[in-house]
Amino acid sequence: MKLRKIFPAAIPVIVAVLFLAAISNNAYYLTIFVFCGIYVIAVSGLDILFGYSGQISLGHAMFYASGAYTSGILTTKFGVNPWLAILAGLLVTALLSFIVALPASRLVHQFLALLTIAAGNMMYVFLSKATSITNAMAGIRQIPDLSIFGYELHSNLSFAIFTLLAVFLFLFIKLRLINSSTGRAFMAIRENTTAAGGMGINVRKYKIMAFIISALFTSFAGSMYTHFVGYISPETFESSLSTMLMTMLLFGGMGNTAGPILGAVVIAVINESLQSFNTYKTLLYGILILVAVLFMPRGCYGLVTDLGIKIKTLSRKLVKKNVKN
Amino acid sequence: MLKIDRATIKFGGLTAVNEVSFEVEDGAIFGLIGPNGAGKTTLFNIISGVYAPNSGSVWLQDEEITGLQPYQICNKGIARTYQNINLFQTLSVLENVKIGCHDKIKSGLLANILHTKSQRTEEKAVYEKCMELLKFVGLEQKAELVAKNLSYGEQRRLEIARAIATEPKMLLLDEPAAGMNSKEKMDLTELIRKINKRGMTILLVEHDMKLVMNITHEISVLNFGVKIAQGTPEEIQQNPDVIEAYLGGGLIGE
Repeated sequence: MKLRKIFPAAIPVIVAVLFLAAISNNAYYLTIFVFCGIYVIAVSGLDILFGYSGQISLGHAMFYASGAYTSGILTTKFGVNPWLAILAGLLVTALLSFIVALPASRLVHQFLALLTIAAGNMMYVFLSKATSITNAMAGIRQIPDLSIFGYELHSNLSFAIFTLLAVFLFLFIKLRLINSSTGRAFMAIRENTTAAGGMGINVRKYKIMAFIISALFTSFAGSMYTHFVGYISPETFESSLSTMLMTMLLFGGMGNTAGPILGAVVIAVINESLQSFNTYKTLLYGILILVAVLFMPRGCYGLVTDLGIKIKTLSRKLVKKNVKN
Repeated sequence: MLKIDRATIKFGGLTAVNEVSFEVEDGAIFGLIGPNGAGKTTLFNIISGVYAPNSGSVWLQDEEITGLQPYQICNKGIARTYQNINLFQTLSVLENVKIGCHDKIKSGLLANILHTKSQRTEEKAVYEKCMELLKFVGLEQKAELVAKNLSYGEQRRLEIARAIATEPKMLLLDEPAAGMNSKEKMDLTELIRKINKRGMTILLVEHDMKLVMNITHEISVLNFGVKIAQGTPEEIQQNPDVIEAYLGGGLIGE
């Protein structure tokens, strides 16, 4: 019984590990692998907010930025240990997301979307103008590597392994969270805010909580990005990043574990293969969002599960026919 | 148990509920009737905290609860069902009831993520409690179904199970029999009696006079936001004001 429970979770773990082993010699593939992992964490965070608690955010780049910049600034300017800097990034993001969530938790639909867009843009303006803190458009260079017990995660392979572990950790946290009373409260709010309040759930408190948890996931992803690339500048954290995260979520399918993984990986790979058409990237996001919204409202994940159900019923019909014959 | 003291609420120029007062005894099944638009649901919304009254007050066991938020009122011990069903549609029947247990769950965010032993024990207890409640309303076979796939009558019973899961002292039922066939109505009558025997005081808004006259101990009648009568079912049936205002002549209970 216990083995059967663990088994479904074990398959993707084994697949991921084998895949990583297969590409371990190719530095370029490893880079893409790391980016996929970073986006999986960020988009899973966005999923907690939008997919589970039903609150949209079109400004999640700000939390990615607050993690990335706190890491970057503390390690380069103050020589803080990278791990402590990541932790500080999480604290800064928690505070920032709390401030954003206070008004956001009173809003729904288009008003919430507008507020998050505005907040995201404010963060971008801050990054590109506050020269004394963020070094403005020049960005922050020579950000040190992460190290574990004195071993520096300098090579792409070592960072890829770390990424895989981080992805597992965050997906694990997400699953635990969703399958608990906290997750149920989030879903209750998504499904019916009136009834959630009527059933004794403090709607505002849980909306804020979802905002903060979601932001923490994205903040960690931002810190990982900083230490992997070693250089950050404001243009990475433009509103197009928020759009990309949302595209990944919608395209992959929200409100489940696999959707954000699918969306993040597929779009990160497409993104990478279209590097030479950089100018048209946003156009591509637009098309993908349209396709997702119009033809697959539950994303790739929904498409796959629907297909699975169809195959099942079809095979059942075939079996029945054969039995009759 | 519940005392409403001169509650008044105005929407623009319309006084939806005007100086309504009544008191529900411990352990009673109290009926609230009146023609459409009489202010019954509005009064429910005042009691459950959806609206704050313009004046007047609501008391639960000598504690004033006027103007509290809906979740606070629920946690004080008043649970409700909704006239137009408000289930968590895409969640399973079991999850719907589990959400009702929310306030009684002690495990916090950290315990939930760490999956501590006490959290697991608690989740197991919640599961058992919810299954017991589903059995109580006759939905234990449907626990894993998605709520929106239930029939209308089943959805109403699920709302009741979810409300009981909050462990209320007082249960407000807003037209629980609406849309039910006569067999379902009979089952519902039985169910309301059973809930009452579990020790819950019940405030019932219902248009089905047979059901109301059959199970309530006391009835208040509203018309155009004003209370026009209160008494036992027999008294209400003979009250000339009620007959005129509410039925326009004829017998109640036919």
